[in-house]
Amino acid sequence: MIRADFLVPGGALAGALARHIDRRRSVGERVGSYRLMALIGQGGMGEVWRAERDDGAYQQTVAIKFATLANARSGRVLLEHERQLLAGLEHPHIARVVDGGTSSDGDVWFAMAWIDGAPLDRALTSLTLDARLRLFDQLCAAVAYAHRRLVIHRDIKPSSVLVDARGAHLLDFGIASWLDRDRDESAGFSTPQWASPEQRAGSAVSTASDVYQLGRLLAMLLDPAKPSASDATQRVHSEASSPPKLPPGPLTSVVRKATASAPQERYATVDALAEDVQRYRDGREVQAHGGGLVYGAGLFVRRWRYSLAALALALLIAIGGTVAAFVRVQAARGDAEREAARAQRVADFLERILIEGSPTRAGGERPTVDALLVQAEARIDNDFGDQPALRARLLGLLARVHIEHEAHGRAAPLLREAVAIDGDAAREPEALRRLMMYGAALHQMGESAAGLRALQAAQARANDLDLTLRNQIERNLTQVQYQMGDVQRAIEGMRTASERVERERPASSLLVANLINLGQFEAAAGHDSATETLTRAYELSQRVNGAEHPHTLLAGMTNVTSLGARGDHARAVALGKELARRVRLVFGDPSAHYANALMALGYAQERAGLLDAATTTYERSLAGWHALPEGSDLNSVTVLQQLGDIAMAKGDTRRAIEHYREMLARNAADRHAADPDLGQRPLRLAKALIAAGGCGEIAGLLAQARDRSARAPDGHAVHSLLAEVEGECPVAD
Amino acid sequence: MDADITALLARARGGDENAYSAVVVELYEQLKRMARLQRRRAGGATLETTGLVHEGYLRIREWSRQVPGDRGHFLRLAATVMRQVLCEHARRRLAQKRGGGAAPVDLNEDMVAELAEAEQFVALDDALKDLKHSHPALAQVIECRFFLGLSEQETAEAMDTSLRSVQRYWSQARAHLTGELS
Repeated sequence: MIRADFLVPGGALAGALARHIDRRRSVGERVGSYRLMALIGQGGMGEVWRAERDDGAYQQTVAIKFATLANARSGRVLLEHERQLLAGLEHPHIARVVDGGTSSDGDVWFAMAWIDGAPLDRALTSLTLDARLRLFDQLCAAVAYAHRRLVIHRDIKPSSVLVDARGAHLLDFGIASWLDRDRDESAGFSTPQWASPEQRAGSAVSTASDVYQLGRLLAMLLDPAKPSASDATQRVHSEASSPPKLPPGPLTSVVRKATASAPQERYATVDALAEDVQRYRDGREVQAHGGGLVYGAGLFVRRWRYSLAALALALLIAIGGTVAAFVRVQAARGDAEREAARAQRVADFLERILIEGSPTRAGGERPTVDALLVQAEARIDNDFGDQPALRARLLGLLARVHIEHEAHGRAAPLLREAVAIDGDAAREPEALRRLMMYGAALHQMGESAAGLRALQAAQARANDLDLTLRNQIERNLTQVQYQMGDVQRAIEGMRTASERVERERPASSLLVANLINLGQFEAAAGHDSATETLTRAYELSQRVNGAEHPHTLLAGMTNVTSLGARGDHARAVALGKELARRVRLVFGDPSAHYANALMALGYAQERAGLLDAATTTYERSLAGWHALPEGSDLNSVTVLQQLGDIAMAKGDTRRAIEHYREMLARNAADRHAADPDLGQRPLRLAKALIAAGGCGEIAGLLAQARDRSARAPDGHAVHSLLAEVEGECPVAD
Repeated sequence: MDADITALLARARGGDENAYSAVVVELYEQLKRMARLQRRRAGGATLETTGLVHEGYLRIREWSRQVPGDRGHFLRLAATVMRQVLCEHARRRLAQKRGGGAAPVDLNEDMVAELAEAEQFVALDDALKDLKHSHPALAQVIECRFFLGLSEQETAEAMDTSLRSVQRYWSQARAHLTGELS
């Protein structure tokens, strides 16, 4: 029977059927190397089909997702490197994009590994809270892994997650990102009811947006009954998709922090979010973690001598915090891709031996990885006491799992025991890897001297190792030397290591990472060669890692400076703009990285004589610094100084005085600047005041400058500046 | 394309089957474009139906102006084509669902709604076939108003009858098809 509410004027064109009238595909049709088997879903973006591989190569079932031309920007084709980027996401909890292309009728398609599971919201009903949190942990690991590869998901929601016997699998990674890339309206493909505030506002989207969506997912996991997908659809207009209300509790505060409206108030990384949930699962107190983005930057920048060239390098080093962390992670973990699979295997292995060997097996509930580790540690001595080699190996494996979770304190005693078993003469790769991990863990715990000794011992026996492991040991060693203040030795060690890598693998990301480390060390020591080293790193990284890799961005900033120094201002400015754009895309706005990138651009513009453009750029950078939490503002003083200098150059002494005063106020206790004040800052204000027509106020500034300049070495520019100001205003004596 | 459709319409009126097919294809393409345009504007989430219908009107009115003196014929033709296109699509949709066999992974509200709707379309199409024999005017008014979304006034024009007749036909057709007394 035909319903009366169906048969209304214009009704035929108003429904879902008319909306999907442009379906063009049918069962049996071939797309790429696949044959379509069944239509399994349909969403705003397009159709989803189950498909089988059909080129006779091998048996493979995939899910193929189509984005119709109206959705994908017209003429936009999937580029080979983008396909590789997506295909490179190999993680046990990511449904990998295995292929993609443009169909004969112009639609873009992606083929994803087939997961025979249930959508998250349906899978939840039978699970305990801890089991649900375990799924969440897997999802966080997957997202964090992708972020390290610069892929943002942008559309995390319950229907993007399938659950099977192996756990949770995140679908559609990078697809929304890809579709959105060229669009003005960034929110385009995010599902509205799960979109982050910045997506809804149409602003640029960064990793913080994924943190937000994971927070929303966590809220749903805590209370699956509340925001089911269909409820959310109905609510979307009325409630503007605010996170659901939850009873107060430690996990609720985790949700609140993850879903804060301002991106910079959220967890700085997905790892930080996952760690806080882990704390809850371990029965520890949940705590808020500060911004991890600029880790260690303060340490680097304190050592900087003052010069304009150093300013640009200082930007670099502030960004380098991330890379240092990145390099550190790589050094400690090896290649994260293999590592993720290995961690999974380790967990499987432990689970197997423990569950099979456990007398309490009948208990039912699967133990957490943490509980397994505790049990394993307790059992190793008993079960493997007569097999020292296997014991050392297992200890090493357990320690790796701890290091994976940044629990260095728990890894160190296990490694100490393993290293003692291995003995002082061991030369096998695995033994030396354990020794290296031991050294790195000790350093992470603050026992740097002992860590250094372990790493030196590993290096002394590393001659026969393969290039990667040997280089890893040397990178760890030089990093510790550098952080302990022995910069010269760090430079020599890294130079030797880089030369070796260059001989054996001249075009490798290994060499890029080494050159960046070396450039950092050289810059910290004030060597002119730093610019050259980092320029090489930039050019190589572009080829090897791609344009948006953090190593490329980092090294590119130096290139802006070196182009400027060579007088090639047009290219310096063009490159500075391009890098700022990419940094914003990757790290978001506001972020310390973006504010630094704007500084580098402003600096290039200033040198090119584009004073108005430079002023605008610096002002944007300053706004960025102001928007960041206090501890993340690394350079607002430097920006204010540049703004003051430009105002002076333009003869606007009133504005220069304003900028300089604010600069001095913010610089109290040597804060918010990449370089120390050796007297140059009060002198700037003094000069501006003199130019404004009076020497009245400057006696105090001169005294301050004299006092501080005593710290500057002979021949430093501040001494002549001081003499100049004293000459101009003798009355101040 | 618009010049083409004028020529095609002339030939279709002359009984040229191929030209008629071409008009159907053109209308079909137009409907698809409207649907896509609409979905794009809605960001894939919601659908403002008035916009879709409006787009259709404008385009079809534009075409109908190019065949002066036979605007009514064109509108009737367009309405029939819309019915064919949508009902054919609904049948394919249901067949696909039955033949597919796979447990849907992502059977979202959109799909559920669409399948329920497809069944309604097929039932209506079958009923209209009978009605066309017994009461051709009633079937025609459903095509014009339901499938093409024409207003009462436009339907009157298309069918070359009075506004009051259109209103009466519409009530009778609805009562007949839905089994409700008006």
